[in-house]
Amino acid sequence: MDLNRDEMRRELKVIDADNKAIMPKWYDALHRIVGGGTEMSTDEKAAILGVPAPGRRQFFKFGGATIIGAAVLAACSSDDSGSTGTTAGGSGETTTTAGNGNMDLALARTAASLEKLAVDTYQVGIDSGFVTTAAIADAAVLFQGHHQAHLDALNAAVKDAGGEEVTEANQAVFEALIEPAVAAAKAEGDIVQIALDLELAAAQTYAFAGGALTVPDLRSTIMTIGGIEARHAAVLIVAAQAKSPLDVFPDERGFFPGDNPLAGIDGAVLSG
Amino acid sequence: MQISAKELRHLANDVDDMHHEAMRNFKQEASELHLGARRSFLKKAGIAGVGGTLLTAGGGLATFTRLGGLAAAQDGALTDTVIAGYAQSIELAAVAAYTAAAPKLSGDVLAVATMFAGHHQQHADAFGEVAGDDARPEANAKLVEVVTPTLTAVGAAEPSEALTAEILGFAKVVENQAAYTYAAALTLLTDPAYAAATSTILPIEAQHATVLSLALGETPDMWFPTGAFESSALGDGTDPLKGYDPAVFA
Repeated sequence: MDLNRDEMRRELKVIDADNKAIMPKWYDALHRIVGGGTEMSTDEKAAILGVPAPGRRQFFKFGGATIIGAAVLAACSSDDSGSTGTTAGGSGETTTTAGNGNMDLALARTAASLEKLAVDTYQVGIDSGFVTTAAIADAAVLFQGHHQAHLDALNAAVKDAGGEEVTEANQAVFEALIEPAVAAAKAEGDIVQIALDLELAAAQTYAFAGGALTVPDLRSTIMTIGGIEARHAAVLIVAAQAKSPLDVFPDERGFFPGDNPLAGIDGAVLSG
Repeated sequence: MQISAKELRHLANDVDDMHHEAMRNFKQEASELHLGARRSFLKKAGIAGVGGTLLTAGGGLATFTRLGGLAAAQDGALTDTVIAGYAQSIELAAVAAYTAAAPKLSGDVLAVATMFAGHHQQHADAFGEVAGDDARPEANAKLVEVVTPTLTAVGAAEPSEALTAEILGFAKVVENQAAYTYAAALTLLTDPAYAAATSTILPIEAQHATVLSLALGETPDMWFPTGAFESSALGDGTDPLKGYDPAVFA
């Protein structure tokens, strides 16, 4: 999808006037991906959408557990058909089931499901009864709203592409990562740490995408999100005070800064 | 949310750690660029095989023109190195602003300001390295002109809590505008190597701004002045929600 100058100027004005509404640039970027308007590799598409990418050995550290995975997208990628993936703790190679029909749409729906997961996870934290500090509760609601804005933009792109909007959180990621961490949470600090892990992973994903994407507009669009995720993390670090994500997992830094931090989780990729 | 001096120092240390990590990447990448090891760098960035195409795709100038500023300011002689030189001058202006305000600060606030100034200096050095002949090793004169009235008033005032808050608020605006400038710059840079490096700096500037907002005890809405997305709009410096337009500050 090409944008002419006037369209871009109008979009920038809209962003400046009301950034809490649906974000046109983000929408445009997604629309181009979903609509196939750019020549991007599977890894690049995965990076921009914040989902596991094939061909990269990745680590996602969460609540003390490390999941090593790769190639979730490979089986549904038109340029990597026939690839397989593995999941840590699993019994061997696992072929994903999204198919080759419409990988872009599958990625968009998967990303939307992850945003929904973030929205839901914040709600779990809010409802947990552990969050008793008013400022932390306020931050959770605000951050949840940001993720909802991302979800809305993703769903708009999915709908325009003829796909089915995502209304449920990514169940596979929830079961693999969020559910155990929430179950183990015993205090406000645990809830903050869960949120911080999510935000740091997101910020790193976007920082990677900012350099990996081939289209300048897309790089910018991604980093308008990545900056916000970094701000989220900064706020959460303040809320957690002495806690640091590096202190929680000091020996499991298994990924390069800027790499997509999400691992391949079987079933995490939705159908198109 | 009020934070103690100890918490502020702790947070500043976290940001500093992140900054140093990012800068290691940036300097390494810059070094590789100068050594001509572009293929190695691009491979490391996961974009091997597409860099050459990108460099000749011509999309960069079209994007520049859409945004208006740089194309007019540079008479079309736009390169990634020119942008890097521009960024260098902006970073040096930030250094100058922090340096000018520093005598009015003390204790942990001074330590944070010094750290942030150091970050900007290192950003400037890194951009200067990759800017080559387009390096601009002096603070952006027009940005300095814009901030001078505020800094002059600061210099004439006696140190106080109110003055400290004023300085932090001023610095926060500069940090936010720097982040927005980089968001806009990313629409212009044609070389993924430069984009990758810029992408490691933008979040640091954004975190600087948010840390300062937190230190000021501002409300959550102020931590994210442009909402769920960073602004990528450019202006003449008077709008705190817009970055520094090269057409104005070139």
